[in-house]
Amino acid sequence: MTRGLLPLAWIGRAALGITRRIGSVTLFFLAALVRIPATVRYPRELARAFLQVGWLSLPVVGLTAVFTGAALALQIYAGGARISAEAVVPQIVAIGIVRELGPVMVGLMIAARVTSSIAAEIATMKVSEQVDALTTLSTDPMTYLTAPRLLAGLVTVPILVAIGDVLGLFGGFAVATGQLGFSGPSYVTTSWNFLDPIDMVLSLTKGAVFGAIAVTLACHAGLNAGRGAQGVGLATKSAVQAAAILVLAANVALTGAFFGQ
Amino acid sequence: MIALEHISKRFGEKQVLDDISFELADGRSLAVLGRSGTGKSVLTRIILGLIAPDTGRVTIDGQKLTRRRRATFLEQTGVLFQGAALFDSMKVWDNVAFRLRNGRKRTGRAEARDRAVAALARVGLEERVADLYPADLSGGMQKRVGLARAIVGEPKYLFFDEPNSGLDPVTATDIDALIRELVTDLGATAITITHDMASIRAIADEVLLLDASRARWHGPVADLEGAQDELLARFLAR
Repeated sequence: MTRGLLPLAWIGRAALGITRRIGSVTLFFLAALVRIPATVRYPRELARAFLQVGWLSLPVVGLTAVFTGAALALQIYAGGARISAEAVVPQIVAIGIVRELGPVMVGLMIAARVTSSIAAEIATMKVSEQVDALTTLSTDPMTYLTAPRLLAGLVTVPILVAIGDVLGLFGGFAVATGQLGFSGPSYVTTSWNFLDPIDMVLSLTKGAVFGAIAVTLACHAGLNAGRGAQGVGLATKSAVQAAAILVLAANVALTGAFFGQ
Repeated sequence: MIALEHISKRFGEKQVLDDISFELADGRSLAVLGRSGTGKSVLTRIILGLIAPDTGRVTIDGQKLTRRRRATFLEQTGVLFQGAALFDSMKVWDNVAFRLRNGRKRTGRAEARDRAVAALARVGLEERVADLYPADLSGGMQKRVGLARAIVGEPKYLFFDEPNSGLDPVTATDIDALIRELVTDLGATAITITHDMASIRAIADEVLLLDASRARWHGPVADLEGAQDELLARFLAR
């Protein structure tokens, strides 16, 4: 091959690699999805998954949402002041949190916290032959390890997004009424009246999709981890990177699907 | 009877197994011997269905392992992994009783615990160990727990992957004696991966020597000393 064609070969190899990975993750997701009904056989793993993905993520999600809502209110007020539009703070905070920042911040927090912990846990099980042990003990690792976590992602992340939305709105409310001089009842009424049901539907849909992305990529990376500590590290890093990027890409796609022209 | 017919396996450029065939009659104990990287673990993983061979087939009692037959085969199989492969999030008794509590025929918690404690006693561990976590145990104790997990379902087939690796000589001898006793008691067909000749003499009826991805020698343990094989002689001399 001539030297001039090397970049093309590299691009081709990269494209093939990405396509192969997308195909592999998609098939993996479908395989986990069809196994969800069978997870009733493993109530303990289900409870563990709901705890790991949902309950234990609550503090970080809650704090992130409150701070984001508060900062957003300050930014909108400062920006609005330039065009004498300070009064739009409740509306913009409401729509910004519910449609975008609430789900995206929760999605990124889940990608950081849950994807890393699931990928590292399953990768460690893989390299220490615990996954093989499950198979020889007549237990399908996809049904036992992946499906309960996927179900937890699909159910608990939308709930976390709803909680994040409420706390984000509260953060904006606290700053607006405590520092920016808005009246409490009027702020709440304006925010509430401005939101449409479709905004909540989009928010919760994003939560379910982000939950599925975070958990699927974590389990896929864990079960395909290479050998040793380096394999665990690589699996965790690649899962978190891919989950964060895919959450942001899916966010654009979903916003476009709901509100694109 | 476990039979392998012309099994070959390649990983990338490396031919790991090349045209391996052998039969192991019911109740016999086979040791798979060979230098590191000669495909011993890959061979047992193929038998267990954890890896698919490129060519060849595995049969159990003359029948090819389909998906359903493999499930049945695994239900009758106990495996001791090299590092014991215990589930660290579970207590010892939960590990031992895993198959009883999660398998097709489920056992209640109390009965599963009783059977796990009995299996632990069979491998020389006291009841107090049952409520510890794997991380609280020494390497030798973890191997014993792994053995208890392998035998708790009274399996027809047993696989041991380097059961003595990482153990001191005294514990290794104890584990060998335990394996021989359990295999004999259960009347199980056993396959052990090892490169320890003392272990082979203690637990095996016959030996398969792998070298350069092929089966180099296969025969009874009693014939080892008289075998005219240079590599085998080097193993025996150690």
